[in-house]
Amino acid sequence: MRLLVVEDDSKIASFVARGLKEAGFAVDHAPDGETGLSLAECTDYDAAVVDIMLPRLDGVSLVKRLRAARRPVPVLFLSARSSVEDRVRGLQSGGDDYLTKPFAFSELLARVQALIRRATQSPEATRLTAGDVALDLVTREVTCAGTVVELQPREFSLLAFLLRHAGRPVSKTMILEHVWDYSFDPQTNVVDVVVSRLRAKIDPDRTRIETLRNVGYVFRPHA
Amino acid sequence: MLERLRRSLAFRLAVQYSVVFALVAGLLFSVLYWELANALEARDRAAVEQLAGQLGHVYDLGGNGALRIELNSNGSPDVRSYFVRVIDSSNVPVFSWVPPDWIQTQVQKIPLPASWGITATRQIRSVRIPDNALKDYTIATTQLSDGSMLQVGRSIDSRAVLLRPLRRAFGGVGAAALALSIAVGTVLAWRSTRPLRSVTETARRIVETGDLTARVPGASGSGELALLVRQFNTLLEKNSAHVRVLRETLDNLAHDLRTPLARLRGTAELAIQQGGDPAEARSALADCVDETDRLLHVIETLLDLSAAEGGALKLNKQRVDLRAIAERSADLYREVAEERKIAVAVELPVPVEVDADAVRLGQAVNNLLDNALKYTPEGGRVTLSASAESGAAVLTVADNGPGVPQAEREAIFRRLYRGDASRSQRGLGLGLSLVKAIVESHGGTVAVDEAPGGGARFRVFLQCADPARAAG
Repeated sequence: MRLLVVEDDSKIASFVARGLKEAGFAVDHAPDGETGLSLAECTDYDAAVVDIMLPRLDGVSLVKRLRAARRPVPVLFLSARSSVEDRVRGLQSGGDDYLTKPFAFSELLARVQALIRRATQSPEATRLTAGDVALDLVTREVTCAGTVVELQPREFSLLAFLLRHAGRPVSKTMILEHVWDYSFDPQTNVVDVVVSRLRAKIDPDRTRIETLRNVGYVFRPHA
Repeated sequence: MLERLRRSLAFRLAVQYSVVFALVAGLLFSVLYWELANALEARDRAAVEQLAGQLGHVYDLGGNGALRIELNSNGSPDVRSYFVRVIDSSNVPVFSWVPPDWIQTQVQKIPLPASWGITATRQIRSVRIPDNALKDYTIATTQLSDGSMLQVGRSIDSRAVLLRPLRRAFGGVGAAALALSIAVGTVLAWRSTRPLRSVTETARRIVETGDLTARVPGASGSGELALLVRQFNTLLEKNSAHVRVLRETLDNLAHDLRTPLARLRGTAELAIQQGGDPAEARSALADCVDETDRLLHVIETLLDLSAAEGGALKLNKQRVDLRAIAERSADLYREVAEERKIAVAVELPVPVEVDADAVRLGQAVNNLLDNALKYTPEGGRVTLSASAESGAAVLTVADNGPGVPQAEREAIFRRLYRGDASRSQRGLGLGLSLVKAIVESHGGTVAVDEAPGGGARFRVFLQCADPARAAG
């Protein structure tokens, strides 16, 4: 897996690159937009992390030109601006996800992994399984260790999201975005509440849904 | 000082007006002078011509003798001031009557007519002979029946007597009046431009000393300058209010950041001191990350708050139904409410449309609901409703909790205010001030009172969207 990081701040670039390398990715770093564009045009990256404010060529224009050149590489935008318009502008220009600075590295990693997975997966099956937990998106039936479990709609969506990212951490912000469709953090403990309810139903001994402090949650399938 | 006076607006105005005044006065005087001089000359000429006609008649009747007798017997003392001469056809003076105060040279100066032809058509013709600056003569010449010629002349002193003093008076008085008008004009203009100098002086003082309480004095009256002064003072007032808010914000920010920072530092310090145990160090680092997240959240909320209060919050206004916002908010908190065993009732009978930023307004409603869920005891009830009352859209969040004491109803919207009841609850004390700032940046108001069945009732009042016009 090869990633491109286009970021002009050397400190941020180095901690992002280091973290991604530790997570098993090969990482190329470009300190400005033009270098980033030329790298992306001649290499097939699995994903790119692109800062929006860049010298020489800003991130939005970079991605627009990549898309015009039919390079389908999934792009995660980084930006210091958190307004909804900026986010929308970034996504409309061809970005696939958007992360506001300052960000937790774990969040960045989780989002990059989700992007790669989304880009490489075959059309989603109607049935998600991880270990002894299975979820049918059509019949909405959930089984855990062979027994059928009744879930509330929100618990169902949360479990589906966790199963899609089974084995990989997901942040609370990602959960809010995908399960509640909230693009900004409403600062409630609602995620914790629903996670604890889901745990009570499918994971009473707390071995499947693990809490990662400062990061979020990860679904660990039972072997 | 002199340089300052020369440059001052008051002085320049006074001089300009005085110059205009002097030009007009000079023109007026010239016209008057010309008219007066003409009238005087005409009068003199008429007198001389009349005497010439009279004496010509006497001469025709009795010759030189009769002329002299006539002149001598004329009772009027005036007649002594006339010069009378008869010249025969060969240009030799045959009769001469010279006023006693004339000297010989004067007589010689009276010319003999060079040509009769010019005057032939007219019986009497008078000419004015300018002599010098002091004296003019008016001479009337008439042809007598025997072919000789009668000249009657008079030195006209009316110019010297009347017009010269007039000119002198005008010159003197005019100059004095001009100087006076410049002086008085300068003083008057100086006085009426005083507000301008006050404004300059006040601005200079503020720039030099940074004293934002300085105001321009003398703002009463209704003239343009008083208006300027008042506007300037209003500007200063607003400016200093902004600076005050900014200072308070910074103070609050510093205060809000100090506590989490102290915790952050303490945790890190403790971890360093303890050393050794990697598990404890990890846990301390995790605490630090938590604390950092809290700090970030405080900063973001305060920035939002400042932007909203300062009117700088960018609102992406669209036509939205308050019901959708209320439902979304109730949906977000459903599980939280269920955990606390609080029933959230959503009463939304009719659509209530407003032009608003759905995200921001949703944030405000979330905060109100969050607040209600926090203060309502377990097993309680929270009602979320939206209605339209005569052009006003009202969104209500009511609970059956302990309510807000009368004395705290205004204070709870203040930044960082924590009522007695809320000290035990976690929170920043920023939620309700953010609600107020967001609602007010939409041109609405928010108020709290007692719900009909007891408990707190927060109501957000917004203007209903005009159904005829789509949101811009």
